[in-house]
Amino acid sequence: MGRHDNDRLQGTLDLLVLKVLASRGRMHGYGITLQIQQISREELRVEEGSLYPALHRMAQDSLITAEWGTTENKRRARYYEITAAGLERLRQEEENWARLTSAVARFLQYA
Amino acid sequence: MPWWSKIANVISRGSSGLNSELDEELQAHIAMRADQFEAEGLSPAEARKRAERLFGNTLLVRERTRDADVAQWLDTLIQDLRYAARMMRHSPVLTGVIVLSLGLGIGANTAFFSLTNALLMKQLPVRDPARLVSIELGRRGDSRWSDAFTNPIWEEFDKRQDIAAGAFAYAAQSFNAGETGETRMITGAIASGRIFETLGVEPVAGRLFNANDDRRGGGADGPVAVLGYDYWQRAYGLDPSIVGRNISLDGKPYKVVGIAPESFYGIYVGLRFDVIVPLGTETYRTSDPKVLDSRTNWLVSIVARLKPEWTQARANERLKALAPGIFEATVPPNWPPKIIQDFLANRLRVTEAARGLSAVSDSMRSAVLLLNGFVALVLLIACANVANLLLARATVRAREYTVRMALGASRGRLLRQTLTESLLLALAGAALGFAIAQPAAQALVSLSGRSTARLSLDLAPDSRVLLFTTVIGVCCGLLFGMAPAWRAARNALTTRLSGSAGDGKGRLRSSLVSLQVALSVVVLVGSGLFLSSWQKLSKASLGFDPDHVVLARVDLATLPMEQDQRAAAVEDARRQLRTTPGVEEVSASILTPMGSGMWSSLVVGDDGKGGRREHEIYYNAVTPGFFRALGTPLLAGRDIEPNDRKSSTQVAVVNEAFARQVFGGGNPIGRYFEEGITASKTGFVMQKVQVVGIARDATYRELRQPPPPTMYRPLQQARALPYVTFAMRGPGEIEQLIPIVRAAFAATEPRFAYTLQTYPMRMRDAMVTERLLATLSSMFAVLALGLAGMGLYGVLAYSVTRRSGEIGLRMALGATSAHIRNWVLRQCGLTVIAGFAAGLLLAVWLSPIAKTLLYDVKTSDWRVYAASLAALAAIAFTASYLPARRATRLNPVQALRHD
Repeated sequence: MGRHDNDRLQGTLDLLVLKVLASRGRMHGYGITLQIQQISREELRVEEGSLYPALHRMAQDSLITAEWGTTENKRRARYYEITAAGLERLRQEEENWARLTSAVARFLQYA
Repeated sequence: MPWWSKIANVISRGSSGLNSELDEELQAHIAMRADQFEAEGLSPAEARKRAERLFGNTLLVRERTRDADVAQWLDTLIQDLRYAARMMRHSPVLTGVIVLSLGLGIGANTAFFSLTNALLMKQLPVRDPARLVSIELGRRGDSRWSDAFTNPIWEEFDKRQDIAAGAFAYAAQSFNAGETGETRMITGAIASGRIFETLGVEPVAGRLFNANDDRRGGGADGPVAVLGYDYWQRAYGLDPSIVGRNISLDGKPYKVVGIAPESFYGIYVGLRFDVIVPLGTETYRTSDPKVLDSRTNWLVSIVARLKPEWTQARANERLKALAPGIFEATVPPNWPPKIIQDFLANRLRVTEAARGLSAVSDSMRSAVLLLNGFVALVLLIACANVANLLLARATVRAREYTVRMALGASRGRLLRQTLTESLLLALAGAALGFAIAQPAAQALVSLSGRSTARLSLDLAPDSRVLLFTTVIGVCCGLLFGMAPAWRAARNALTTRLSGSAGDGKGRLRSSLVSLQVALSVVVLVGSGLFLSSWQKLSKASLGFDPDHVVLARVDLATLPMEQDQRAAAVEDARRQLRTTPGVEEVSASILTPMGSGMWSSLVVGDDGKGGRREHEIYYNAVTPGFFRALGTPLLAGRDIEPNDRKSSTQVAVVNEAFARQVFGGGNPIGRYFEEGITASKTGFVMQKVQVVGIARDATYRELRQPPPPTMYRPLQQARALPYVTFAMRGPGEIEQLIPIVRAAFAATEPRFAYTLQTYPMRMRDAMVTERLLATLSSMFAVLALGLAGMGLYGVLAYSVTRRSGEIGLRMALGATSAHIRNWVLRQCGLTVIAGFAAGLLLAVWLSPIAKTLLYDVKTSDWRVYAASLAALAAIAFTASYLPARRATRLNPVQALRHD
């Protein structure tokens, strides 16, 4: 019940982040950026300016948890992990996305 | 993120905590990207630059991220509040009822707390009050400690002590501020010279007095006085030119040298001084050069400021060593050796005095504390009512909750929403309560004052009162918000989008009503006990006739005449006053019943079996006509007569209790007893006194005590005559008698400064605690009854509506309206009886608390319990009658269609 319910793009970023965390497990912010870029074959480029507010907001909503950890290069970084609520949200968002895209696809096909 | 760190975020907006964490996270991001560029072959500097460029404006990202953190939390809060406000607007009547009842409940609690705060918790408004101690005296074989000392003890203490950086003696007195004729009594204080420097109090105008002014008869400026701010305002309209002028105290001019600050009321909590004068000027005011040398006049309290390095324990050790010397030097003369031994064994100690010394009686203090408990109970009942109202609404809103949950609101979110609503209501109530608390507390104070001593307390709300109100408000909100919130969350669990959401059998609501009934029983029983105590006391047999009597007290010590002329002057005045038309009888006596004084004598009598026994007998000295003026019947023998002079036979009229105790019954007229007149080293010098009459037992001073053995001696044979009270009886009402008395005094004795009093005033003063307890507790009882009745009505009305289908079915199956009515009443009966039972147990368990405050009423008085139950039963019946009648009038067809 956030104020961004209708913000489709925001919702899309959330969806991507949740999906990455659900499939790859624990990650830091930079890792998430890389993953999204790689998987989408550079089609989706995550704006850092949007990523961090989104991460913090989702942490507040208890969709993900955050804690400090160390990278392979011995750097301190904040690691994010998806929660059960996050998984549930991901499922809903995926459904919504599927509905939306199929609707748009149908529209483009038949309009 | 836990809520406290969210709040910390909000508060530390722009400060380091959150930012540095966030900065570190963002810097790590940039560093990792730079690492990658470096791995791809760029120079470190170049890599860093590109990474930063790619990231964009870190400051902007930081702002936006932090905003997401804070905004989310604030957003939900504001959303909740807005939603709550909307709900309140939608049902203005419900909201009004809730806020008003909570406001009254919280207001009453805050008012009592303000009073308790002022009486027991506020510190003296002086410099570093924590270092102040009061000196106390412990007598042999007495576990209580006293704070009264003679002036010689104070002077010895001051001379010898090394525990304090400053110390002073303080006493409260009444001064006559009138110039001539009828007195204008004000509250005076007498203090030794170093009071203001010890306390660290500064004047608002002029100067305060000091050790140089505290000389016998006055210092360099003569007798000086300092006005209290309140009195300066009241009597002189804050006119600064009063400084330097003379005022009259007990007919003697005093020079006003300054004004004390507004906050400083003295050291007795509850007794604000109007004028304060140096202790040394007492010889001047009383025209008695020896008044300060009396070793038996327990006049002053002692307060000291401990030296910085001294603890109370160390001071007590030191006082243990100092005490023998101090008491050795102040032994009263002519005391028998045994009593002197006891005196020398007196102990001294210090006790914390940061909150001042109490001038309020113990009974008044316990009454206030007890009433605190009463208002708390009433507030609980009000909370139960509000919980019930909100529960009813929660049931109505169950559908809304279900919808919201279906739309994805978590249960925690709904719980939070409901609690926010409750808290908003409670805080609105608390705000209202806070607003009405101070006038209410002021009214309480004036209700608790006596005509002779106004109660004056600093009731200005401080942070403690504010905190109390807030905490009470939040507790109330949680208390009555819990049930609806729990219900909302639970109801929403079972998804029912259609149909009415029920709440089981309404058990929660019924038990809330039972709780209300139980608490009401406690309040009712309490108020019943206090009411009957008050009633008993006002009907207590006095042994005299208080109507149609006006009393006029005259202080003889301030008159310019020798001691042995006083009796004759009084007798002259009495004769002249008697000739006034409209006055039937006039007498003068040292004391009058229910007055403030108490004199006693040592009496040795023959108990009729040849044994001599000592008795402590209450004493009064009276002129002829005393018994007629006061309306105490003489049972046998004669009255005191004008011929009973100092030189003639020593005679006495005694009361029945005296005859019983000293002579063991039998006719005492004509018999002799011995009266101790002066103490000597070997005992008392005795004189023979003949009994000439017997009077009916009459109240001496204390209304609550049975009349003690009393002897009435002729005024001309009185052992001392510092003051007298004229008692004037007329045929008419007191209101008509008072102007006659005033005119008579003006015509016959313009020299006399007199203070008028009447018995209605004295009765009022004597019963101030009882009246306070009875009126307030019955007010609370009415409130409790009303709230419980409302609660019961609400539950039943709701239950009838909810079960109208069932009722319809029963009617369709042939149940008569009597059946239905009984069925509804039975429901109510169970709830009420459960409450009765619990309440009775609670009342029986709690009532011993009130024991010391009751006069002639047992805490287990069955009549009080019976009356309380009857009152509750009547309310319960009224509250259930309407719903029951509605149930019987239901149309079965419509009722069945309803579901």
